[in-house]
This record gives sequence, structure tokens and C-alpha cells, in this order.
Amino acid sequence: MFRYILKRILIMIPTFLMVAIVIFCIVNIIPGDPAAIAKGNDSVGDINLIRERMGLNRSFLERLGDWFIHMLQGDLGDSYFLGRSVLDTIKARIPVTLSLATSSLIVAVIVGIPLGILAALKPNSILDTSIMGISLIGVSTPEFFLGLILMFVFALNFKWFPSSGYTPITEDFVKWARHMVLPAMAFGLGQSAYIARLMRSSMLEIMNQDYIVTARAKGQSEIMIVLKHALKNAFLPILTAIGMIYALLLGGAFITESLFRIPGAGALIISSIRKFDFPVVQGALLFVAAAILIVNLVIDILYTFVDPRVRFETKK
Amino acid sequence: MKKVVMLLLVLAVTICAAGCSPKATEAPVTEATEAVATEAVAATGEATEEAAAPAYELSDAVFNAALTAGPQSLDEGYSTNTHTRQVSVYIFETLFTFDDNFAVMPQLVDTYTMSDDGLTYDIVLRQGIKFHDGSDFTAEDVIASIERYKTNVQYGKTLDDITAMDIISDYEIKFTLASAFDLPSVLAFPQRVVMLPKEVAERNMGTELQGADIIGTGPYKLIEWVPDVHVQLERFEDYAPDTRYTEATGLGGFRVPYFKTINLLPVAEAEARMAGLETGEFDYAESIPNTSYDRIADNSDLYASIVKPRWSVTLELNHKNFPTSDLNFRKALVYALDMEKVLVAVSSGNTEFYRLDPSIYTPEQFYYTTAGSEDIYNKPDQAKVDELLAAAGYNGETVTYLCNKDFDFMYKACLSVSEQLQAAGINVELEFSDWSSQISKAQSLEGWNINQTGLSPRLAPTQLNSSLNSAAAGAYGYNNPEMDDLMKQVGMGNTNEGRKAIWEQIQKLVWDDVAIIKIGDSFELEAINSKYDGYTSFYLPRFWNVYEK
Amino acid sequence: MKSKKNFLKRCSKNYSMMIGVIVLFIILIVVLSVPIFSHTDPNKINYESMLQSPSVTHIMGTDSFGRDLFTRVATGGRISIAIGLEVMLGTTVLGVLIALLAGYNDKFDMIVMRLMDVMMSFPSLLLAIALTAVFSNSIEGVSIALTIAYVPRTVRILRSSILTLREETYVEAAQAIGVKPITILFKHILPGTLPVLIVQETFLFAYAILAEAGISFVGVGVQPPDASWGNILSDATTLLHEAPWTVMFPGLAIMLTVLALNLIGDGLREVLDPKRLKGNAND
Repeated sequence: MFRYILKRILIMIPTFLMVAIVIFCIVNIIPGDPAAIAKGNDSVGDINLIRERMGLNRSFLERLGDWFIHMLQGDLGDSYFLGRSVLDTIKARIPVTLSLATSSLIVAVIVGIPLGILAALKPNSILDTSIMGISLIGVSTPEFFLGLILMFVFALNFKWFPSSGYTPITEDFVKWARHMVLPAMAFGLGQSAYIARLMRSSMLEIMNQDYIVTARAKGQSEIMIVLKHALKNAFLPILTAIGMIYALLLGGAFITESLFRIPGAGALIISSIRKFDFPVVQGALLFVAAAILIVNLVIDILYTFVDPRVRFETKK
Repeated sequence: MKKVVMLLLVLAVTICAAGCSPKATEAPVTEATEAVATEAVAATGEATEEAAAPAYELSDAVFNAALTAGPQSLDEGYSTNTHTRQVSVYIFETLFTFDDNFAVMPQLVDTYTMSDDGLTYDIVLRQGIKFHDGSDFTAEDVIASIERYKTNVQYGKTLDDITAMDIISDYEIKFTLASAFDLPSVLAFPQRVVMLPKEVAERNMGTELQGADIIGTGPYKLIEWVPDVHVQLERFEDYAPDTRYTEATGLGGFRVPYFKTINLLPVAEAEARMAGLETGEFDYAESIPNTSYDRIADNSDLYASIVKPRWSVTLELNHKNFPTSDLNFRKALVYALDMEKVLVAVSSGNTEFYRLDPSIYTPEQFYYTTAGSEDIYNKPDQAKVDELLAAAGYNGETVTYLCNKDFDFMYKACLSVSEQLQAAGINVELEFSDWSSQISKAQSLEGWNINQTGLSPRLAPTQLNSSLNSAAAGAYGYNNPEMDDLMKQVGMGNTNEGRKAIWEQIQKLVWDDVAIIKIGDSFELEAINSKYDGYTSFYLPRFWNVYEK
Repeated sequence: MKSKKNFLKRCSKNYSMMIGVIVLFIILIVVLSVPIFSHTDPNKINYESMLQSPSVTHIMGTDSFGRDLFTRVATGGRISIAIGLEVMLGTTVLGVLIALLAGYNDKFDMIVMRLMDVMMSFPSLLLAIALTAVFSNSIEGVSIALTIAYVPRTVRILRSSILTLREETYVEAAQAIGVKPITILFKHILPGTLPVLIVQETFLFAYAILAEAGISFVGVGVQPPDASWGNILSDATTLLHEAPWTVMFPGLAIMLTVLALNLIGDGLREVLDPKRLKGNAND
């Protein structure tokens, strides 16, 4: 068990390092001169001096090596424009993205799983068909379109929720929740549709297994069968899916963030790419990639708890 | 089953724990406490009114203002950017500043005298002014602050003509100039020469002000600045309002920091600013789409006002690259444009938000003049265009037009302009980029002909050096010795009327040469919660003297 | 020949798939024909008819420039769908080449799969945004960026399909009689992967349209004056209150297209995948 986890962590490290190098390479071939932007409209000021200050006068490999070594020591450099270290800049943003992705995941799970079960109870019934129809529409609706509709209805017309902005959860929980409702719904509902579809097919597969058929023959009520037998086993594939969805939410949060003006890491990446603030782009991408790797790791480990077969394999 | 639920719980808890944000400062929400009785001292200097100032009740309230963007720097010596100035006017003050009509007025200066030859100024400072760090503002601070500007900023060149600054007393300085120029206006703008404590200025010679060094004499001090997130300002309790005046005007006058805390929040999306205003999340929002005008008018909680003047919609031209290097071609551009159409596009057809105006200075300003525009501005004439294009030897070469979507009015203007130019037979190709990338591309002078821009109200005529003087990068290759000479003359010590006469010649030459193309004025909608009183529109939002009814 | 007939017959029996085909067909017709037959220029500013709500003359209303939204959505659709198609074709060609080469050479396989793993451990949309910045925010730039971002998915699915197919008896038989590996790959294995490939690429078409809309929506994708659906929608966000139709129509266009593609993808999966079919027969 412990050895399996250790092994997984050890595998993660080279992947992370390779991701880091790939990030640096992509970001640094973006055409654009941050020094020219830093110089701006000033007629004085030597652009070469600015380049030197930004470290842009060195060769690509030198910069890569330098960045890589500093990164290993936990130093991601300084932003070109914000006058702060990349780490400081990102530190404020990561919790915001995490809280958006987490709330969206919660929406996706608490909406998606019951819907999937409901649909699976009576396959091909009207209920099933309509749930599946709606979830197909849900899968097909871009989150920013859904977000705009929600904003229009619940923020502009009913004024139930603020249409934008963010309050840290540590500062004021109620405010945080009010700000989070619409973005989490916009972002989470599409994923809930996906979970519902998956839950349904997983349930259906289980419901046809021998032991369920036996339980039915014994005269157990359908609800008991679902709760006692089917749910537990149908849940396994969903766990992997939840991990994948969480990763997807972390990586795709920028669109929802930009629509609802949530100052998260995704929004930071977008604004920094537009300004050619490469150190910040690299750092933020690295954090998002690391978060996703960790989520995958956690899911893998959880899986060993839930699914005995994985544990068995490692013991061999 | 239990196990699964437990594990999920654990997962949720870990994720939530990771999701917690760093603790932010708590916003105070207590009632108003103290009242400051501010009695007007007999008016001196250029102040005129003598009525007693109203006694304002200071409050512990927090005021949240939604701005389009946050500052990248809080050092005006390093940035002429509006977003920098929007914040720095709360923190820093200057010796001279400007009033509602953009005329120069004293701020930290009590009185001053100019010698007849215009080469020496004797300046007396106001007393009892304190910096945010508690130290007194004296002559030494002035000299160090000006020295700092001389070393590290672009407008320092003008200040190089100050050959000596002699301290006569703690509160009196004698300036000696190499040539006569209008010292008060140079110290007031275009780049505000802000007053810093001596040690801070000396510590930051040639470097940008950061963190704890952002110390001024203004009504608010900086508490926290998180770029792209917020700027938090807190009332400077030792602020000494300028009691020579009874009201605030421009960036000076009698300013009272009514709110304990002001939060300036960058909110890029107009819809988000508007919606936040409606939900009460923001007390003020700038730059609201004018299509929302009726919506605000219908809402009794909000008070709309139109910022006027706000933007001069302007095209800058590349005088180095063909075809815009050719005068005939540049004239053809003007004759191809129905300026009103452009302005209609900019303002979505709402006549309250635009004005035909051929002048760099708007009708509200002292230097307004229509000189030189009579036969060319807003006179679309296809026959003339054809003739001028032929004279320029233009054969359908691509004309690259730089634009951006960061400023809605620029985006709308360039769509209309490019359409009209195309219809007139000019092969325009739009190139969109980020505003900052657009500036740096324009500076390079390579690969473009027309640059879409917007000028905020220009202040002293010397400010136009950056667009018209052949030495300036922002002139984009425009080079006319006559213009350089006129620009030099207009900066000299002179009477206001004398300067205006020179300015009229400059404005005429701008049209004769088609140095830049002014399309017209575009105004901006802003709104404030109607529970507040005392707010008046200006091109920079001013929340001093704003109070709850 | 017989199997082809069979395929079409099974398709026509799959009603939800047919709905998808019909919807997509209508969208394609509108998107292709409107820009040709309409006399309205999608970029023509109309100074007299700004922000008009839908009416007989402007069935989707006009935007803040007085431009006819219907023609704009139709021309925007061309760009969005073209990008979707380009990405679909790009990932197919690249994906097939890489997967086949990997199936052919084990060393290449190891290197490629490592690289794909790294790319997959990275959020594809963010990768696409960074790549768009590299390749310029043009239509081609966005297409290339999305192709690179999505190619690992195709490669992975194809590779696992190839690995199963290699164990099939007919492949082993061909190997035994000495058919060249390259011939086996192209003649025997590639056709076997087609069902998986077709289903995957249909969904990828849908993803690509969503992805393009997303990155153009945040302003780092296709730039004006080119208008894609994401672009038109992003322009409209400030008008949500005053002119909601400017948001609704481009949004619905994206949704319907993606929905149609998803219906087709689901249908194809049922029709082409025998295992899936068995599973469905059970329920």
C-alpha cells in the first residue's frame, strides 16, 4: 500500500519536471517583446537596459537552466510588470481558482449523480429520456453561454446574486458563497451532465449483474437494491471521472473567471499572456499543472482504498 | 459504501482546506464618529470665494469604486498612464495643480512671484502640511523631489532649464531658470511633479517608488496595493485641507477625505461594473457603456453623469512610411471621413455622448480653437479624395491601421474609420492587438500607417510636445521645424493670451500638415450611488468631498 | 458493400443521430449559403439601425454597430466550423501517423507516449492558449494550436486500438506469412481502427468548436475583424442587459452545432461499436 503510493509519487516527479520544461519552452517562443511594452510611451529609457534587467539578453538555454534551477529552489522569478515576485502574485490567485473549481465540482456531483441514478432506475422511460436529453444539451452548452444566461436571469433580473466579483472564503463565508453560486453553476452544470451520463451507464451495467438479479429474485425492494448493492459498485468508475473533471475544471477555470471577474490563476494567465509577462505565465501554468498532477495522484490513491484489485496487484 | 463516503469527505475537506484564501484585511463598518469643523480662513492668493466652508462629518464608511483597470505603477515619474494617475491623485500632491477648467492653480504653494524677465520665481510654501510618515513638508523636500524628477523622467528635460533652486527659508525657495518658461504649469502637469519626503526622494533617484516609499501629502494614504486586485486607501488623519478655497476644483482646492477607506477596484468588464453598481457592491463605476444610460436613469438608486470632456478620438499617423508619409495622402484620409458617422458608431447613436470637434483642446478648455479646420474637417468629398490619392501616387498599397479592443471607443471608431476609408478606395487593413502591444508596435515605426488612439484632456500646450515635436517618439516621424519652433515658444513664460495666440498657430499647422487627425469628442458615462452627495464629474474620478446624504 | 448498406440502415434507425445529422445539415446550409446569397455585408456598419431587436428585416436583430446579426452569426459560423474541421482533419492525419509509427516501432512508441503523457497532464485549453500566442491569433494560428493540444487524445485512443488489433488472428496470420509490417499497418490494422477514429473525431470536432469559442471569448483567440462565434459572443457581453438577443443567437448557434455533433457522435458510437451495441441491447 505504502509502497504503491510512494511509487506513484516517484513517477510523478519526472513528469512534473518535464511539464516544467515544456512550459518554459512554449512560453519563451511566444513572439513578443516585454521590454518594448515595459518601455511603453517613454521617449527616454534604454530598451537594452530593460532587456538586461528582465534577463532577456541571455541565450534561451541559459535562461532555461537558470529558471529551472531557481524553480527547484522554489523561486519562480519576478514579474516583469507587477513589481512583485511570481510566487507572491500566484499565491493570492491559486486559492481563488481552487475554490471555484471545488464549488463547481460539488455542483457537478450533487446534481449529476442523483440524475444519473434516477435515469438508470427506469431505463428508456420518459424520465430517463428527458434526463439524458437535458444532459446532452448540458454537455453541449459552453459554460460562458450558460453563465451569461444565469447572469441575465439571476443577477440582472432577479438580483439574487452578484453578477461578478469575489470575496475570499476566509473573509466572509456568506459573501463568498453568494459570489460563487452563479459561476459554480455555470461551470459545474455542464460537468454534472457528463457525470449523469456516466453514472447512468455505470448503474445500468451493474443492475444487470448476477448478484443484483439474485437480490431481485429474493424479493428485495428496488430501492434497497440500488442503495445497498448497485450504488457502491457503480460509483467506482465515477471516482476516476470526478478526478478527471476536477483537473478539467482547474485547467478551464479561466473562462468562467474572466466572465465573472474572479481574480483567479486562470485570469492571471490570460492577462499575463496578453502583456507578455512570461515569468508569471510560466509560474501560473506550472501551478495549475502541479495541481492537476496532485489531483490525479489523490484519485489514484483513493482508488487503491476503494478497489481491492489495485492493492492486490501491488502486493504481488 | 461507508468507506467511499468517508473517503469522499476526506477528499472534500482536503480540497476545501487548500481552497482557503489568505486572510485579507477586514473592512470597518462602524458609524460616523468625529466631526471636523473646518472654518475658512480669509481667502488669499488666487482663491476668490469667501463663504465659510461647510462642516463635513468624517465617516468610517468604506467607498468602493469600480475602475476599468488598476495601475501598473504608482509612481507618476514612471507612468503617464491614466490608471496610475487615477490613484496617485489621492496620495500625492504637487506645488501647482489645475482646476476644473484646466487652468493652473497653486496647491502646496502659498504664494509666488515671477520676475519681469520670467527667469526667477520666488515660491512660498504652505505651512503645517505633513507627509503620511508624519514628517513636515518643507523646502528641502521640494528640492529633493524636483531633483529626482530631473534624474529619471522623460519630462525632466524641461526641468533641466531650472539652473538653481535656493532655499531662502524652510518655506521659501528661489528658482532660477536658464530660459523663460512657464514654471507653474510645468510643475503641475503634464507629468505631475509630486512632492515626496526628502529621504524618500533621495533613496529613489532613478528608481521607481515601491511599497513603503509611496508617501505623499495627499488626503489618502496607501494601505494595500495588490496589482490587478485592488488599491486600498485610508484617510490621512493629519491631512490639512487647503482652506484658502471653499470647494474642491480640478485636482486642488478644499479637499476633505470624508470616507475612512476607499477601495479602487479594477473591473475590466463594463457589464460587471454596471451590475455591481446595481447590486450595491460598488458605490461608483466609471466608463459604463452609454447604452446603459436609460437603465441608470430609471434606477432611483443611481445617479448618472456624463464625463465631458473625456476622450478626443484621434488618429496618429506614421510620417515615415508611405503612403501616410505623403501630405496629399494624409489629406485624402481626412476628406474620406465623415466624422459624424465615426462618432455615431462610437456612441451607438446617442447624441449626448459625442460632439464634432476639430480642436485638440475641447470647447470647455481655455486653448480651444477651430483654426485651420474650416475647409478640411468633416468635409467628406470623394472627388477630392481621388484627386489627392492620384497626387500622392497611391496605387492601392496596404495601409495598416493599428487598433485594440481594450478601449471600446477606439474599437468602434476604427471599425467605422476603416470602413469609410475602404469605401473611399484606400486599402486599409486593420491590425488588432493589446493596447500595450499596440503602443510598442507604434513606437517601432515599422509596419503600420495609422494608429488609433484617444487623448484625454490635454493640459498645458507643452504636453503636446510628445505628439508634435520632431524629437518625440510619439510624433511618429512628424518633422516640421516650424512646429518645433512654435512648440518651443508656447512653453515660454508669457501671458495666457500670448500663449493662446501661439497655440492657435499650432492647431492650424496640425491641420495644414495633417500631423494627427482629430475625429471628435467622445464622452463617457459614469454613475454613483444616489445616497452620496458632492460628486462632480471630471476626467479623473474624485471621491474627496463626496459624502453620504 | 453489404456492410455499408447495413451501416446506413442502422444509422437511419438511430433517431437521435438522424436529428443530429439534420440539425448539422441545416446549420451547414445556412452558414455556407447566407454569406453567398445574402446582400447584407456582415461587417457593414449601419448608422441608422443600431441595437434593433429581432424583426422581419433583421431576424436576429442588430448589434451596436447596426450590423445584421443573422449574417454575422452565419459568417462567424464559417470561421468557427472551419476551425473545427481543420482541427478534426489535423488531429486525424497527425494522430494516425503518430499512432501507426508508434505501433510500428517500439522505441518510437516509448518516446512518443511519454511526450503524450506530459501533454495530457496539462490542461488542453491552457496549452492551446499558450500555443495560440506562439502561432499568432489568426484563424490558422488557433487551428494549429488546437490541433497540437488535442492530438494526444487521438493518438492515445488509436494506439490502444492498434494494440488490441495486433493480437487479432488475421493480423497474426498476415505476419506469419511474411507480409511486411508496414503493409500490415496500413492494410490490415488501419481499417480496423476506423470505427474508433470516426467516433473520436466527431467528438473532437465538437470539442474544437467549444474550445475555439472559449479562447476567442476571453480575447486570446481569433481577433477582429475576423468574427467567430466566440468573438461575436464576447462583443455582446456588455449588451447583455440592453440587447440580450446579441448574446442569445451566437450562443445558441454554438450550442446547437455542438449538440448536433454530440448526437451524431453518440449515434456513431452505438452503430459502429459492436461491444457498445451489445451493452445497449441489454438495457
